[in-house]
Amino acid sequence: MHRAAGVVTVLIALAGCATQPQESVSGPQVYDPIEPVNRIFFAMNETVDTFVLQPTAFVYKTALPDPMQDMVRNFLRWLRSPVVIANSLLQGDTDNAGNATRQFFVNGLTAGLIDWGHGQNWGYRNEDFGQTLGMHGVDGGPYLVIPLLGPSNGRDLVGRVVDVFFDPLTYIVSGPGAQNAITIGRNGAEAVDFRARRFDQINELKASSLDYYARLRSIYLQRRDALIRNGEPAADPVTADGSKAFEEFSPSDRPRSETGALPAQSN
Amino acid sequence: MTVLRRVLFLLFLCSAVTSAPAWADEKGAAAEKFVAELGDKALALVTDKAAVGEARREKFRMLLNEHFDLPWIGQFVLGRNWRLASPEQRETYLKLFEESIVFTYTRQFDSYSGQLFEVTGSGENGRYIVVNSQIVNQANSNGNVIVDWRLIEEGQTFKIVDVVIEGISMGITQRNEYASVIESNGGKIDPLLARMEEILEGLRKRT
Repeated sequence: MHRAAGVVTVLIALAGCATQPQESVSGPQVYDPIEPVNRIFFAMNETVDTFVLQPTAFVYKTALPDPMQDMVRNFLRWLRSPVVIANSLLQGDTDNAGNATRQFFVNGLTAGLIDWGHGQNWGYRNEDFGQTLGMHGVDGGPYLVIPLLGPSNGRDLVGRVVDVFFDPLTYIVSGPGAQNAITIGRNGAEAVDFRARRFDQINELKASSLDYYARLRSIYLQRRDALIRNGEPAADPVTADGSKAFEEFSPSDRPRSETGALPAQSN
Repeated sequence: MTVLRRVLFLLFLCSAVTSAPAWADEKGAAAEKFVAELGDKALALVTDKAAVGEARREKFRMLLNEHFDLPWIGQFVLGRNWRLASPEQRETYLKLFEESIVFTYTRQFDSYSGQLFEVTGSGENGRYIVVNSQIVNQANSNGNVIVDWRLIEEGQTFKIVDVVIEGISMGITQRNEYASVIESNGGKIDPLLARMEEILEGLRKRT
């Protein structure tokens, strides 16, 4: 009895730690407990971006014709389809599981290089285990910047590891050397493809940022939230961190408004 | 008597329930029109080869102020720090805020390559009206971008207070970013203003 009470107390205390400072009025409303470490990794990743990724992506997007770039992406996506199938099923999304299965077999006839479902109703939509966890109500946890891989959080990092086990390639390829080569090759190709497709936008984002780290952190968290909801609007007008920033906001100054207040009562 | 009152009340409820969506539809349609018009005007400006440099920025600035409630957005972005800022700091901040939006977005105009703008629907989200739209890439539908607009009513018309691109709210992104800058400078506003000035200068030089 006493022990049970003790366990409950500990659990409540843990929950207290786990739930982020909800109304931390000060500072960014984002849960980033190891920010100094993250910023170091972020700076390292930025160096890699400047000296390796960006030049590679530039050559890639300049030298390779667009249709071939699409083939590269189609192939990378096709490799992911077993993971997408597994996660769609875990999310109860049989539609997307069916689409991914179809992609796996139909696109497989052309070695995954052509996406035959593109523009049809069975196009590609990525689902990973981080999204599966999020869909089942798991919080993001602490924001993390992972060396070479970039922004993530506790939930999505677990998701990445679990997705490895959903991937048939993990079992087909034997030998750690070959495994590593495939992992590096795939992640590298995905990074180059991602960077090349958003080449100017990312440079523009960097140039206009006051604090690029903080801006990217906010973008990452919001984007993952949107992906978990599959682009559906949130039930509540929530923000990246789960606080209702827009709902709670009312400007104290309304220089241009006669009433000086928002139409808060309406709606 | 009480029965009659109850019936009347029920009738009132029914009429309220049935008439509410109609009223919302009307408002939604007006909001959709408001955003569609902005899209048309913006597209006209983007494709206007005659408008370059400062002339283009001036036209964009007008369009911006006509459709967006910039003081509202600026204040939202600054969050609780707004209250800590002096009137002079607020004025400088809002000026810098507007300029950085003008420079950031007019620079994007050059990357325009024939996309179309399409309003797809509207709804309510809490206190706000949300208009859904899509930037359609005719060459490749993989490149379509979903854009939601958060609106408040202002008199007979609307004002945009946030733009949400593929689930990413511009207001919240900047709010988080500015909060981080202020926090890392010991909660002071002036370093933020200096940093905004610095970035703006960089954007000016690149144009």
